[in-house]
Amino acid sequence: MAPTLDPSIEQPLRSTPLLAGLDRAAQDSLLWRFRSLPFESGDVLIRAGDRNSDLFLLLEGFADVYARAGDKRYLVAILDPGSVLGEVSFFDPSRPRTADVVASSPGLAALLPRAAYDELIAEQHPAAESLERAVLQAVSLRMQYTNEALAELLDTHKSGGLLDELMRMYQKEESP
Amino acid sequence: MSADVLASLAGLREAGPTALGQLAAQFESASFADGELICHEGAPADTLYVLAQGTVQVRKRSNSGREHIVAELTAPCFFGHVGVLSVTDRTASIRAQGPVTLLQMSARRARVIMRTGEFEVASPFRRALIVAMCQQLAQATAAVASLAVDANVAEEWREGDDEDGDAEDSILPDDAEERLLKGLSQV
Repeated sequence: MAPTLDPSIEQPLRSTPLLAGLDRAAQDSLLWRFRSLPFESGDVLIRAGDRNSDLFLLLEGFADVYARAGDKRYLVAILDPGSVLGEVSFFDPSRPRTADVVASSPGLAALLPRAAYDELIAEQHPAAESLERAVLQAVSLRMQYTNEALAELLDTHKSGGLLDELMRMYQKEESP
Repeated sequence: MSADVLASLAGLREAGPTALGQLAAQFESASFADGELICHEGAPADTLYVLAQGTVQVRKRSNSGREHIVAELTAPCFFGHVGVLSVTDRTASIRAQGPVTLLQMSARRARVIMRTGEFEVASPFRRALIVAMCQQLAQATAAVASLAVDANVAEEWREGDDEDGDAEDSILPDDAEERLLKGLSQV
């Protein structure tokens, strides 16, 4: 029997940036392959070092992304509905998870197992291409943003004002 | 040689020999000496590169105009992929660190392969570009975390700390962090 779609995630999934650009047929081909994952605040959705290659789509709620450095960690992203997470290990299963993702509110995620993507590839299904192109665009934007942020932080780091720079960047964004 | 280099890239390892051969035929090789500029921030991003041998520095200017090394890439890996996704300018400069051998393809040709190429060629190609960007994102994230530790703005963390669900103490207003950091998922 073919798996059926969890109705709680159908509409939120269709409106995520990842799927919104796909035609109806491609959406339908992807939707039933997702599983729903309700979560509570404090739940660890992804743990750095784990070997798991599922892709997550955040549908409701918020999650924090932490990068680890020794026994310390730093908040590098706050994810909101529509965000994709887990793309590194999803597209390169040989790599363990590279950061912690911790829910900061109750919410709902949709999970796409890597095996489902392998099936799409084997079928040469257009949904595989749509998924790849959507993730490519999202990751490219993050790459640009990350390098810009890093350059600014390095600039300030040399003059010892990292925190001041974070505040200044925020205030600049607030300016008209 | 080109097909062997491409076959060593994550994402392309599973591609069949025919697909690798077709892709390899689109690249030409080039060499750069130590310190030579391969591409310049702000110039048209008209070429996709594969670093076949050697190491390159990724350098980016901050708003103040100072240039920083934001990453070092070692062979084999893609770089310069921003121009493959859209017609745009370079977002960083790349400089050879030691002698470097590259494979290069016009960004326009890469776009055509990605968008209209046969599935057996285009899908592994897209996957390899995603993996390359994810790897570089992970490196940038680690650098940000390291800077945060140096600046004493990183938090102590132990296994199990998250399970209590308590709100994190923040060094910035909640909204400030959100606006600064939104969109930086690379896990």
